[in-house]
Amino acid sequence: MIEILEELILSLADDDLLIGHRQAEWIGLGPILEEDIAFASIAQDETGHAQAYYQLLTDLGLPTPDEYAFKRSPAKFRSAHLVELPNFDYDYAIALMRHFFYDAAEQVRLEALRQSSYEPLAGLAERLLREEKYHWLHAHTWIRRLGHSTEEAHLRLRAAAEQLFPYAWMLFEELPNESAMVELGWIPPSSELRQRWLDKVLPLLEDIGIHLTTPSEELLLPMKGARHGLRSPYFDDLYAEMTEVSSSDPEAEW
Amino acid sequence: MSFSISAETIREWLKGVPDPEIPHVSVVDMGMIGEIKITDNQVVVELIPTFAGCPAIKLLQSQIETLLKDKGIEACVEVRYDRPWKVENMTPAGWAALRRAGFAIPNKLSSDPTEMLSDVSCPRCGSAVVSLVSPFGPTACRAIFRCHACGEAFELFKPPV
Repeated sequence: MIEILEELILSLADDDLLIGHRQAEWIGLGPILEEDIAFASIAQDETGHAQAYYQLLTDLGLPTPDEYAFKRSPAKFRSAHLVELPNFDYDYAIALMRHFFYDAAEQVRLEALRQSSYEPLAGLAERLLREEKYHWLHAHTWIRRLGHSTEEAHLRLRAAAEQLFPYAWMLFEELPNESAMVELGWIPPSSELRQRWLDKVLPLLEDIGIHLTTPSEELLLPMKGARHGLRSPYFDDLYAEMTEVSSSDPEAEW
Repeated sequence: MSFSISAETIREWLKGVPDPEIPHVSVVDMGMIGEIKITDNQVVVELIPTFAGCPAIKLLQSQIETLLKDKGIEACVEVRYDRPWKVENMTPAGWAALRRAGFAIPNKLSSDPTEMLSDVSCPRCGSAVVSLVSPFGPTACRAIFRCHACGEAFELFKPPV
């Protein structure tokens, strides 16, 4: 039972930890100062949320948040590939679109988790949702504002949406032992969550003239298994950087 | 070892611990202290972070423990993420201290962030003709505004909604 719970919590925590790291990479590089601050602030929230998720496991006698974040082998991570993607050449349209897709997913997941029969998770979801609403507000406001601005903005957002959509789709890959989680009332099926997510993001994108179609199996295939431990080609560099300080002195007290 | 001290006395003492990011307000007035449980051999203080990513939680934990230790009490601070911090738990003194420190506070509390962020007045001149510059500021609980009447930038105290 505890192994199944760990699968669920790690999928949530690892996504938050890694997106937090990727968003923090924007510090000092935002297109305007306010966006620099916004990404820094959102990144800080996400990292804090990851820590709070890990702590749910720590409370059951499993590893500490630091051990989960810094001393785990890559195959034990349960993140989706969307959050592992690098910032490539720091195209703000891509950063914004990832933020939009991800935070819409967070809204959907947290709304569902509030009803979870696993009470500590339901309580945490209630708290996190109150913070996440600002992320979602930030994401969809910018998508709408830029989507209705210039031709260049529109083209770049469209390219970003088309590139990232298959990755975002796979945020809702079925979890290991998902049927048991659903039966226990911990979480609704991933396919159901994905539908709610599509209902949230597609109308907003259509409003700015971006029409997305269901990604082909061929596009999705390389990402299958992420929730079972298959890491993307970008993970190793990310992990090396994330753990650089902690691995320089593994016994240090922080 | 047993305590003859009451939870209310401990709560009063904790007014000496400032919020690390808005030091004009104590952790008690900020509504961050939950239940204070006193048993025969232990005092447990619940600490409810405003935002889960608050980087000052460890500092607060040790400040609370140190303050109580100085009073001769061994206390354990339990950080509670499994319940939301609620703005309703702030005290009137807390709100007043925020105003004195120059923060705008929401005119109306709402679970809809758009609604809350659109009803704000300038803390310097009182004008309601203001615009939101960014819902994110120097800390998680602050948003940046500009007043069109007096031209000043100001910060809104922004609670989780």
